[in-house]
Amino acid sequence: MNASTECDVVIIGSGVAGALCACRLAEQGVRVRLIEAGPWIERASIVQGFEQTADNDLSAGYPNPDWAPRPNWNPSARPYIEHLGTVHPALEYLRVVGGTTWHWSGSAMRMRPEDFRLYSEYQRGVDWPLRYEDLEPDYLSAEHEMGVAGEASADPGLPRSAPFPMPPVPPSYAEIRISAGLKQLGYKLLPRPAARNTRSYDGRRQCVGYGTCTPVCPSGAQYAAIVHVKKAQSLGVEVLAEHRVEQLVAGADGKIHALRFTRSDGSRGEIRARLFVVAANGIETPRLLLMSANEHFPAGLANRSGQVGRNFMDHPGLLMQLRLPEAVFSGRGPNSTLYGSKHAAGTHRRHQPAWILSTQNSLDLHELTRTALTEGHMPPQLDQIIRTRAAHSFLLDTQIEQLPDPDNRITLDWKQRDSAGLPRIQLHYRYNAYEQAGFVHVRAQFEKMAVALNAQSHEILGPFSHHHLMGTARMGSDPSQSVTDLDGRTHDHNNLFILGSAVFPTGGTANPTLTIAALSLRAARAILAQLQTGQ
Amino acid sequence: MRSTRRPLNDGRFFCLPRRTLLKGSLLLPLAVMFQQGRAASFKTVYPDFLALSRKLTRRALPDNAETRQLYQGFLDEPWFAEHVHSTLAVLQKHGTPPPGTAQAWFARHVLTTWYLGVYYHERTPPKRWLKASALRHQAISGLVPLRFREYTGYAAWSQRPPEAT
Repeated sequence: MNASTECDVVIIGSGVAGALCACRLAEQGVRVRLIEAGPWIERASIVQGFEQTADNDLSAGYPNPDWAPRPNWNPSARPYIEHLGTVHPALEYLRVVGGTTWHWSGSAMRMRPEDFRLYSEYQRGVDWPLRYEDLEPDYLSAEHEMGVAGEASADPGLPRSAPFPMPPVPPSYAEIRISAGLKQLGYKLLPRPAARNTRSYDGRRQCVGYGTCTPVCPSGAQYAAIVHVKKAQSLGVEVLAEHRVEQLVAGADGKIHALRFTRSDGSRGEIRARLFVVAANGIETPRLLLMSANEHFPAGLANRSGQVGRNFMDHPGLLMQLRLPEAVFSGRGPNSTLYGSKHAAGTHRRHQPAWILSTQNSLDLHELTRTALTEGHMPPQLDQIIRTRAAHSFLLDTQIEQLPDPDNRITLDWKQRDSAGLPRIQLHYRYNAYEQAGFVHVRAQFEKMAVALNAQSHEILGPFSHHHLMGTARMGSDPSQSVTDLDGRTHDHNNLFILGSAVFPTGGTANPTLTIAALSLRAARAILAQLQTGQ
Repeated sequence: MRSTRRPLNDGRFFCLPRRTLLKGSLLLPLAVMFQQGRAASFKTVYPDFLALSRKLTRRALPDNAETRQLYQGFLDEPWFAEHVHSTLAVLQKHGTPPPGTAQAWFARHVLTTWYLGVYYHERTPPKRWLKASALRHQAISGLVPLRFREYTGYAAWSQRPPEAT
């Protein structure tokens, strides 16, 4: 093992949470190390990866090395996560420098004020230990850091103290047509706040409409956390890629003294620091805490409450594939520019979940072509069928709230190992009556939408995962029921913080990235204050 | 940051035992024969493969490096040459192969590869042979930008595509 090295703060995970926090700390002169299991990647190599892969999923062009594995959709691959519940979601995240925002949709939505008070308002789930008003300044800062485009007055349910940094993304032709068709049902589709440049911003170009936001933006007009990783580097943060953290070392006093890692070449090392930050994700964060169990903390670190790994939440979603009478040309421009918040708030949340409607301006040409081939069509009719279907197809998506359920959880199987030699991750997962009621409601609404849009045919699919991995190290004011306080500081270890969606007590309906970013900026202040007081 | 990648060449490949080297020297003539066989098959099979592809896709597909690479991708497939010759013969005689025959399967197999750009066969994991030239992209030309290579321009996505008929 290498000799120990020291710094003020070491952050595990170089995604948006870790990178933003690293920047804020380094700006104040803190000596920070940002440590990442996966490799460095370049935008051009990602594009090349997608051009070379035969797989049709949104991660296929990214590295998935044995020493830093991740979920893999290829059915021939050994599953990275063992699914033990009644529902087996196809989860997705990246392990590379910059994390999963390399291939996100850019959706930078705030959670709604009532999302933070779910129990108080609707006697469901739990309340957050902070209010929307407490987080609003950090939401605003996060929007400026990431460069979010939006319309301030669009959604009155989301009060703001200042405008968005950029005007909203113009809607695609397809979404304009769908929006017009859904008005008769009372759906007013709103500009979706997105971390996508509608003008030159922060040294990055205006969006030109490649239409490949997910899996990757070829131009960099869409924000990715690599922006803040590079800023952090320029501020003196040392970025250690291909360093897989396997253990946090806690003493009997509850202090974290070191972390131990293995490099991609198999060599090992240790880093000592005054303060440790785990900023992995809703799966890798609890895994590291559970793997770090020792004689003083046999149930894992930060787990006196027994809540580590529990309350795993996602935004399950139903999809509707439509074939429309008019050509709408899905796939031109950004992937989703509008959303509908009609069901995002209201007293119905006492008995069924909130959900938002997303218009998906995307085209799965591979699948569309494969279907036409399977049906036996031959050229030249085959070409005409592909062209017509591509022009007339549209996809509606939903993000449905899921309540925290302690039995939806991550555990470790110490008898089985993954390709890196670490205990295998197990996911116990199910949908409860609350979510099921949401699926019924969405289906009924979808049927009405299909009629309103005069769809020639439609198919409702799912529920599917949105890969929003939340809740497995939740924050709260009661240490017996939660893992961290409202700043992300763990109740059990004063010098251990957790960032990312793992700390969400409930999930609401918004894509989690902006809230992750806002909470990271908030946590950075708390970390700075703690370093200054010398605690 | 120092590189932590394992070097690609750690010297082990140059430490082969004599027995392995001997085996290698015996295998060399076989490898040469194999290459000669491939060259011969190219002369006889490739023209029919190209003709078959053109007939199936109804396109004047170019005889270029990409087409030849696609052909190479099929080469190790069992009964490939037989399938090429017999399917072309059936197409020339009847226009389409009768359903349920090996020729019907093979025609669909070749067509799928040309349109998706991905080679599917049970003996191997799927492989991407064509990128921008996969025929599915031609089918939607002018409607949607070619993935990673074309874009609409800012806000032009709010309008109907000019090329739409």
